[in-house]
Amino acid sequence: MSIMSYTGGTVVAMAGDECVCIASDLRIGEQMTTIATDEKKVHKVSDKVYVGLAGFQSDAKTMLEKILFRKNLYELRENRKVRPQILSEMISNLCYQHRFGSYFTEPLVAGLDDQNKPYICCMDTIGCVSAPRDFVAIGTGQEYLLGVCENFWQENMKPEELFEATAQSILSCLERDAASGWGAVVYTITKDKVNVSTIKSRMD
Amino acid sequence: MSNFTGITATMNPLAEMAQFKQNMREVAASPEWRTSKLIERQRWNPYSMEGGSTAAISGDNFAIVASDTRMTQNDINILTRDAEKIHVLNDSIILSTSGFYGDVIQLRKVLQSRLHKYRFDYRADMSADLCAELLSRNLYYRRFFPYYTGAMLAGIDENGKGAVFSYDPIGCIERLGYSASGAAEPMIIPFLDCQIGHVTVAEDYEKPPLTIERAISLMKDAFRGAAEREISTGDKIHLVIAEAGKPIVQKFLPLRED
Amino acid sequence: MVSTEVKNVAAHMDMDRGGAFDFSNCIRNQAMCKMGAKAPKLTSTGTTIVAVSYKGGLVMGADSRATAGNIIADKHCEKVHKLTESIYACGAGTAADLDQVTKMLSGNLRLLELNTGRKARVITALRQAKQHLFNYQGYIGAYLLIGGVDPTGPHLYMCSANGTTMAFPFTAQGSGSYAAITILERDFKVDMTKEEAEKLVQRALEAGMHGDNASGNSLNLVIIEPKETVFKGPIVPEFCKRPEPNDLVYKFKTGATKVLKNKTFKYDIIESMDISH
Repeated sequence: MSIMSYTGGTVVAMAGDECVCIASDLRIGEQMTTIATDEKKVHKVSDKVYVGLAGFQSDAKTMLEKILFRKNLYELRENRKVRPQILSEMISNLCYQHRFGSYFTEPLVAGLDDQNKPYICCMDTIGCVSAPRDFVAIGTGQEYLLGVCENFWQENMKPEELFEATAQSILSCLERDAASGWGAVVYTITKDKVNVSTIKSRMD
Repeated sequence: MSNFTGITATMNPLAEMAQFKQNMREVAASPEWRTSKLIERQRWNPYSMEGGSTAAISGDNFAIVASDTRMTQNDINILTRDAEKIHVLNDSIILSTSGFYGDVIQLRKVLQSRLHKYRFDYRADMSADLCAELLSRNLYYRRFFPYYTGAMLAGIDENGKGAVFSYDPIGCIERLGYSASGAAEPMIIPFLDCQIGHVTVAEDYEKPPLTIERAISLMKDAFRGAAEREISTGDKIHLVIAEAGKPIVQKFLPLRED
Repeated sequence: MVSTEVKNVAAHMDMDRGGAFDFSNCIRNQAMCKMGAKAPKLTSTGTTIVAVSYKGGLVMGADSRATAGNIIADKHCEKVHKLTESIYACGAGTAADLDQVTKMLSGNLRLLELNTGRKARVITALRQAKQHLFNYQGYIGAYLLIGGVDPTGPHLYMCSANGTTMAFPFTAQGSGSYAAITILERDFKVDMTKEEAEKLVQRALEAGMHGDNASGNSLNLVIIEPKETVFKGPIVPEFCKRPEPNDLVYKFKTGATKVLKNKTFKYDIIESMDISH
């Protein structure tokens, strides 16, 4: 078994019209055994910038601390808010520094930049950035998500539509992914507020 | 399907930690990169995987089977762009397969000859229900050197209803409303869960009934989505439609070729 | 005051280790492998990259698909990397390695140009790449085609992950190179015109994208000449387009998902950055 599915967990992000959605499941496991059912894999970095960290959660925790440290240092040094593009570059370089002996976590960045343009990207464990304009998915349910997102994503979705599309995608994924589950949480990031919704899903 | 076994099949945590520390010491003493890399000898493998995917949907009085028509070698090279992965066995039975194509052909031959013999003995075509059971037994017969196929059997059953039977390589049989197998199975199945099973939407949300037209459209879209994201799925959709009381219809639709 | 303190802390924490690799997880990861854990899948560019030289110039091109196992990780990844104004590199292999190696090369070459006040030569780029890759004994999985035009004329080199380099008049790399090279071998002529070379590269790329599962989606071209460099792309060949649109539109009305809990956070709006009063 791959170390990437040891704790399980899935994160997905979709981009819309001046809004982005990022969603994750809530399960943490030790292989087949569920350990906790309230573990969000999405973390706030700044008002309009969120990161998702799937994969081995011990490493994800370490990685999150390193990311926040770098982000704080950046904001102090540059005296401005971090943009998602900058953050993803930072994380990518951080991951690549551990090219040989990597952290077993795939980061995902979703957010709005200072012009409220949506930005989403995901990386592999050693920091190869892929930043498409539609959607990204990481974690054990990546394949399941990519299949449904391909049909559910549309151009220029408004926040409400984007929320439904993202929620339905992750729910469909949780239907089949054994290593993720126990509820899901969806963050809808718009230019003046963030909406956090816990959605009903199968609890297993 | 890969299962969750592996990381030192859970012994007691203390022993596991001790083992881990022991490993840390060993690896620190002679790291992998210092010992010259061993050449991994390719052992002969009786199986190969030719990629591609198939899916099936059953409804009240119809069954739809679809597959792509690409056959690949080592996940990379394209062997042919019009491989036949759906086999129409008689007027009401459709066999769709993925996996090792050599076994697929052998399996089809076995089924065809059994069906032929059945017709000779009983002066009637075998029904889908019977053939489903027959296939299960034929697969289990090879329990310890299995036919490496993700087979599905679809058709119209004895009561005139659509039927889809799904199998694992060693003959575990299950009758389902819809199913998929092959490389893009993880991409197609959740989509069908959402659109046919309606398991993800709220209870009071509208749930359109599964007509034959809707099923065909869903099937096409599922493959179009899968071809976007899965490298060994593409070229053409082979669509086979069985409706109760009507002859089987076969169609080919284009998919992306890259 | 504060900023110097921050800088000192930053220097002290040795955050970037001078940009070098950090091997602190290596032993742990290998021990984990020994416990039976498999290493994660890396994104690779199972690629078709092609380059052809012609009279007085060079055409290079790549497809734009990045794969992780049998799924497409990125449909529009940029594999034609700019090193300097007139030197470009196309990469196949591990995607992260390619991004970082070409980023490093372009930085170093720019510094060199600024220090010497002259344009960098292709051979310099090649030497830097091969020394870096040779140092890491092939563990950095970057297979590069480095090409460009400098005062000594057009040059095209291949650099393998272990540091082997070769010079070519035309070549292809990546998993689609078998299909691409057949087109090149058949139709390459010495001293072609720009148009002929561009067509040839495009055709070779299309062959690679068509015949190879791990290549596709779209192609990018760069035409390098002593006077100017033209970048073309993304070009989407006919067979890479979706032949038919979806039958149905999957739009969910509000209320499709049952929401259990909902919280809204409004951002604090800072009217001005002036905090003196």
